[in-house]
Amino acid sequence: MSQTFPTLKPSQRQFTLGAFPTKVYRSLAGTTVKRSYGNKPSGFGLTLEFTNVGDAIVSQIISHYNVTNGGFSRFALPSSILAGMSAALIAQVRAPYNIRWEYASAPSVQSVYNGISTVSVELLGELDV
Amino acid sequence: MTSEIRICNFFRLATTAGRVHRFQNYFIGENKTFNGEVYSFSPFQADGALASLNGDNQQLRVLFPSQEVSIRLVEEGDGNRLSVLALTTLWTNATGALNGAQYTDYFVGVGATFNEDTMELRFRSSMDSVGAGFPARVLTVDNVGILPLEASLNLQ
Repeated sequence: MSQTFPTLKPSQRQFTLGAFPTKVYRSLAGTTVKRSYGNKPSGFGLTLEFTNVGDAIVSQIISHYNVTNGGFSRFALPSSILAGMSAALIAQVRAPYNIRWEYASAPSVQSVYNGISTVSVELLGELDV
Repeated sequence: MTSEIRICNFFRLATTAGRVHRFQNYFIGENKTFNGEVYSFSPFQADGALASLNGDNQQLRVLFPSQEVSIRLVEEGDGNRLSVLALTTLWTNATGALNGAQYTDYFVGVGATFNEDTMELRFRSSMDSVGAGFPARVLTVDNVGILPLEASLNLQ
C-alpha cells in the first residue's frame, strides 16, 4: 500500500471520467456492432495545479512522487484534493469503482519567485484488481 | 443500426496435479457463480480456431498477464501439459445476467510460454481427426476382382 497523496488543496482541478472497454466494428454498409469487454470504466484522469505554493508544499509532492516510484505504485487521494465538491460527488470522483491513482507523468514545477513555485500534477485512475 | 454484445469467457482449468482454476474475464474485480462454481476475475483473453474442415487439431491460445495467480497456475500444473480446459463463451446483458446463450469447448494443454509481461497457455482441441496413418483399405481379389499386374488402376 503506497502513501496517500499529500493533504493539499489544489488551485485548479480537472477531472475526466474513465472509459468502458468497448470496441466498435463498422461494416461496409454502415451498421455497427459494439462489443463490451468489461463492466467497469478505467483510465480516469485528474489534473491538478498548485499555484504559487511554497517550497515545503513542492517538496511534499516531489517526495510523494519518489516514494510511489513515479508512476509505478498506486495510491489513494485525500478528500482535500476534491475540496469544494459535495460528499456525494467526492465519492464519485475520489475512488469510483475502487480505482487507485498513479502519476500519469512526472509533476512539473515552475519557479515563480524566490521560494514560490507552481506545480502541475497529472494523475491517472486505474482499476485495481 | 447498432448491435451491442457483451461476451464473457469462463475459464475452468484442471491441471494434472488435480487442482482446478476458475477465472472469468468480464466482471472486473468480482466473483461470479456459474454452474455452481465461483469464478474470480482475471484479465485473460482467448483466441484461436475451434474447428476446421479437415478436422485437424486446433490450437487455442489463452493470454494472461504475468501475475502471481497465472504463474502459479503454470508452475503448479506441470507447465500446462495435459491439463483440461473447459472454456465457456457466454453472452450476458447490461445487468450482468448469466442466462444468455453459451457454448463450451474443451481443450487439452500442450504447454505454456512466459515473457516479461504475459503468460501464454497453449491448448489443442481434445479430439483429433483420423490422419494419414490410419490403415487404408487393401485391394484384394475379393473386393475388386482380378488385380492388375502393374500399379496403375483405371476406375470404370
